[in-house]
Amino acid sequence: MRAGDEDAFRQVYRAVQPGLLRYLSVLVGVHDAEDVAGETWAQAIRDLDLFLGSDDAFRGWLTTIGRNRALDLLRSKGRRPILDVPEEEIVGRADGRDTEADALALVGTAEALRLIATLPPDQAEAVLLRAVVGLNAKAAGQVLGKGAGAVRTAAYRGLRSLEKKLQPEV
Amino acid sequence: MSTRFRLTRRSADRLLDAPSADEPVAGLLRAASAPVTGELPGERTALAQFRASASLGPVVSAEGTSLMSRASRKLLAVPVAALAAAGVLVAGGGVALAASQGALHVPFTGHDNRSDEAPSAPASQNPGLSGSHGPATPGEDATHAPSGTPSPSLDGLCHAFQAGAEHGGQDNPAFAALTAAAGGADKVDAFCADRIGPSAKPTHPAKPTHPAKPTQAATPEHPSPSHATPTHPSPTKPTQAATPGTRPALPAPAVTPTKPPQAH
Repeated sequence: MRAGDEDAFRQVYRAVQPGLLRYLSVLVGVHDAEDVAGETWAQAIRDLDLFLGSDDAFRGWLTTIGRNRALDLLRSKGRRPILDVPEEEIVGRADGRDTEADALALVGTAEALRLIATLPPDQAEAVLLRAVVGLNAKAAGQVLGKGAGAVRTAAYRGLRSLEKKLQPEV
Repeated sequence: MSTRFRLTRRSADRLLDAPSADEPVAGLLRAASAPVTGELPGERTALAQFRASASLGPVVSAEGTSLMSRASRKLLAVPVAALAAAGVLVAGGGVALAASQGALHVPFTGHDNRSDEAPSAPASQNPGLSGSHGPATPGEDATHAPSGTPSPSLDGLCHAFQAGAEHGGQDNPAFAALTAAAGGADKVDAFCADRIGPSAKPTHPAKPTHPAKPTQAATPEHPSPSHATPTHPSPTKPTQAATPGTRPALPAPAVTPTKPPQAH
């Protein structure tokens, strides 16, 4: 019986994919993000034997694969990171049975990502990896190839900027 | 809003970990990480790829483990370890135990009988539950196994068993495979203690029914619990492990294998 394995895989996928997809969306844009995420999972499934570690480590490992693929794509297209998310694109990707409340929540998500995407790239990535992908500073630093302290600084600056954007009157 | 929080590096770090405060930024972070409902994009494709890689499974690899079983066990180490860490295995009773057993114990050979899986998988393949050092080398496992090499998922069951022992959950049918592997319900305790070390929290610490044992367990070369290595002393000390129903009266430091990295 393989149902149990597939259920388990599905469980992991659902835990990790949303954050990964949102992160990649900010890097390469929504349309390419799904492709990049798909390639990321394909590579991860292929290389699963190489992976040893906990769930957090898996998250970081997968995110590293995804980021490398995203940067490859950007390089091949001669593009810079998009850092701009058309909000309606992220919405409603689920399955059409969204309740009104769900839809509102998703719009909120898109808007939040769009705001984060306006940050300088290093700050946006730090915030996304920490808050959306769910990595700690050290793991995020490993994905980005920098130290935990640099991640903390970038994320802190990013949050300060977001704070100002949210309260322009101050 | 006129009241404005002054974000510090530290509070920013906390917000990123758990955006629970009332600050606007926290709300934004919550929105950015809000959960998704329904099927995710790419899920079917990824599942198909997983299935495809799994379809290689029946072709058992040289090590005797299907790709599928290794793959899923690695992924599975996640939720099960988390469950175990949170004590859900105990609190949830039969349901949680059944779930963990199902997740860990699904055979990849096409048989329904879970104990059939046991001979097909070496125990060194379960990084999540048994820790980075694994329970031991395959050779050691062979010495424990009445019928072939035990499945690594037995380690997971042992963790659940030891956790559940405090709440009288040992009779749960989910432990049938464990009981079978141990060779009897009264042998499970010793079986598990031998595999993964004694229960972290012995339920009968005040009853040294075998006063002589604790000293025996302390191997001179490994005086520190943190220094326990895969060179597991138990094969050379069969008396302790073979005693049916023996719950080590003391934590028996030297025998305790390296703790599995609890995910949370």
